[in-house]
Amino acid sequence: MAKVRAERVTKVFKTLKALDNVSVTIDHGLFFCLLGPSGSGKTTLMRIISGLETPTSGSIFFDDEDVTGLSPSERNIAMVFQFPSIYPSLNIYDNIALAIRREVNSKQEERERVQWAASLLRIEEHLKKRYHEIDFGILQRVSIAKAIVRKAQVYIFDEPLSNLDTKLRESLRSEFQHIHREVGGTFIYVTHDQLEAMAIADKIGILRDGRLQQVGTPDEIYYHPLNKFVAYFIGSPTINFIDTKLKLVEDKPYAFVGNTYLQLDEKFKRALQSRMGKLENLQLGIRPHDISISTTPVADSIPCNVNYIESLGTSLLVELVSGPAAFKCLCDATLNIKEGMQVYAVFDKEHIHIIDPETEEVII
Amino acid sequence: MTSQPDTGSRILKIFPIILIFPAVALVVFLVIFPLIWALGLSFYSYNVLRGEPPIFVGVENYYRLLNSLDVWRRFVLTGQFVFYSVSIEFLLGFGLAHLFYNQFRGRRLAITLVTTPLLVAPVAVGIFHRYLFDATFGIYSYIAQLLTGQSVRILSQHPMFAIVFMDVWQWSPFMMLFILAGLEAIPKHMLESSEIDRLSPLAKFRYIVWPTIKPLVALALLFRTMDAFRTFDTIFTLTGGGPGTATEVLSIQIYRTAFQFFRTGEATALAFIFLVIILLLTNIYLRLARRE
Repeated sequence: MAKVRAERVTKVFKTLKALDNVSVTIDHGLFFCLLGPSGSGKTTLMRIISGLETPTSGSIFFDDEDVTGLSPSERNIAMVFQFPSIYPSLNIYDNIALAIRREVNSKQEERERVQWAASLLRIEEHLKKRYHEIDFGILQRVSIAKAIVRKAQVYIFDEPLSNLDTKLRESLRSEFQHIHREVGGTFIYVTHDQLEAMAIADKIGILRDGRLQQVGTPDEIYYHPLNKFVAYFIGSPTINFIDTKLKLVEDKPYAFVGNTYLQLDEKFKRALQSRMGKLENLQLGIRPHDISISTTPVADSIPCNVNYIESLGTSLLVELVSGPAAFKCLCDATLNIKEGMQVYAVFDKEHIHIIDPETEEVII
Repeated sequence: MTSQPDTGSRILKIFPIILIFPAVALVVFLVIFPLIWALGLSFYSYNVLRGEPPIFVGVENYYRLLNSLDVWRRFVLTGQFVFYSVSIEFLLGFGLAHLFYNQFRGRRLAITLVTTPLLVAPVAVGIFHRYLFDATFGIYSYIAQLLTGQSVRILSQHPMFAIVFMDVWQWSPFMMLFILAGLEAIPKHMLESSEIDRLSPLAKFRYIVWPTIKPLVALALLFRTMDAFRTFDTIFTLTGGGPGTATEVLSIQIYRTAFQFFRTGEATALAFIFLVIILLLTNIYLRLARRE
C-alpha cells in the first residue's frame, strides 16, 4: 500500500476545466472518499490517480515515486467500476483468479487468496457459476472481490454502489469498513452520495467545479464546514441558511433572526471583532437537527408559525416562519403541533454557523 | 345477452386474419406457389422452347446431376470460390475494423470511402473489373507485370484469382462494418478493467473482445457465405463462367442449363440441390453461433 499524493493537478478537456490545481495527500491505509456532485471533477481526479487519464499539468506520487507517466498496470492499482467488470467467458472463480495470475507463485496460493476474497464478499457459493447465472448485485460483489484479492498499491472504487438498488446498497455499504480493515490498503472511494461517504470514510475530500473545497474526517466536515457549499452539500435534511445581521450589545453578540435578536455564545465575539464592523448581510447556518420546538414560550427562543409539516416516519420535518425568515426543523413525531400554530424555536448555539454569502466563507 | 359477446369475439378473431391476408396471399402466390411448382417441375423432363408437354421422369434429373462429374466439379469450384473469398474478406475486414476502431483525423471520410464498393451495382463491378483486368490496358495487369516482370493475362491464366479478388474488393467492407460494430459495442470500462487487471493483449482479446464480437462475426460469416454461394452477376459479367468452365460456379451453371440449353427440368432440380446446400450451411452456422 502506498501514500497517494496529488500535486497541483489540473485537467482540461477541450474547453472544460475539469480539475483546477488540486493538491491532496491520502495517507496509506486510509479509507478516503472523493465526494462531490456530478461534474465536480471527482471521477476525473480518480481516473488521474489510477492512470486511466493523464493530467494536463501536475503530478501524482505513490509514496515518493512520481507515477504521473505510468500506465494503470505499471502503477499496480486495483479498481472497481460503476458496472461489474466480469469476463463473460470465465466462471467467477477464474475471473477473480485472473486478476492475481501475475502475483501468485502456486495454484495453492491462488486458491487460498480467491477463497479469502470470496468469503470476505460472501460469494463462495457462486464461484463455480458464470456471468449469466447471477444477478447484478452479486456481480458487483465479484467485481469488488476481483479488486481486493490483489496486493495493490491503491484500491480505487468508482461509485461501485450507485447502480444497485437501495437495499443492496445499504447491505454492501455496511460491509465496506470491514472489507477495508481486512484488506488493510489505501482505499479511494468516489461517490456523489454524502450519506455513503459519511458512513464509511476515514477522510472525505469534497470537490466542486474542479476545486477541492475541504478535506477532513466526516465529523470535521459535518460540524466545521469551511464554506457554504460544504455546509449545504453535507447533511440531510439540508442545512438552513437564514439572512441575518449581527450586533454587539453591552459587549455581548446578538444575531437578528426573523423578528428577534438571538444572543450568541462568547466565541462569536472574537469572530465578529475580526470582521471589522461588517456585520450586515450575513447568513446564519443551522442544521434542522439543531433546532428544537417548544409550544410554550421559553427564554432565548424565536417565536414563529408552523408553515407546513412533512412526516418522515419517526420524525417530522417542520417549516417554521418568523417574519422574513423561513427555516426547517427536525423534531420528534410525538410533538403535538399543527400547521398555522404559533411555536417557539430554540437554536442549539453550539452548532450555529455564520456565513458571509459574498465569499461563501464560513466565518465561524 | 349471449349472442352479443359471441359476435364480438368472433369479429375479434377474424379481424387479425383479415389484416394479414394480403401479405400472406402475396407470399403464397409469388414465393411458395412457384417454389412448389418448380419442385414439381424438377421431376419432369421439360424444355421450355419446344413447348411439348413435360414428361414425368421421377428422380432421374437428381440422379443424373448427383452422378455427373461435371456437377461435382462445379460444386468444388463454387466451394473454393466461397472459401477463398469469405476467408480473405474476414481477415481483411477484421484488420480494417481494428484500424477504424482507433480515432484519427479523417476517419469518417475514410470509412465512407472504404465502404463505397458495397453501393456499386454488381453488374457494374463485373464490367469495370473486366477493364481493370484487361490484358493489354488493364491497370491490374500492368501492376502484375511490374511485380512479376512478365506480362500476365490474369483473366485467362488465373481466372479464380480474378473472381475472388473482385468479390473481396466488393465485400470486405461488409465484414468490416459488422466487426467494427462489435468492437464499438465493447463497454469502455471492460477495456479499462483489463488494463488494470494487467491482462496481456492476447488475454484481452480472448476474454473481452472476442466474446463481444463473436455473434456479429458469426452473422457476417453466415451472410457472406450464403451470398457468396449465390454470386452470379459479378462473375457472369466478368468472365461469363470462362475461360471454358474455369469460373462456372453453380449459379452460372443453373443459368446456362436453364436459359442456354433450355433443360428446364434439370435446371430446377439443380437449383433445389443448391437450395438444400445453402439451408444446410445456414443451419451449421446458426448452431455454432447459438452454442455459446
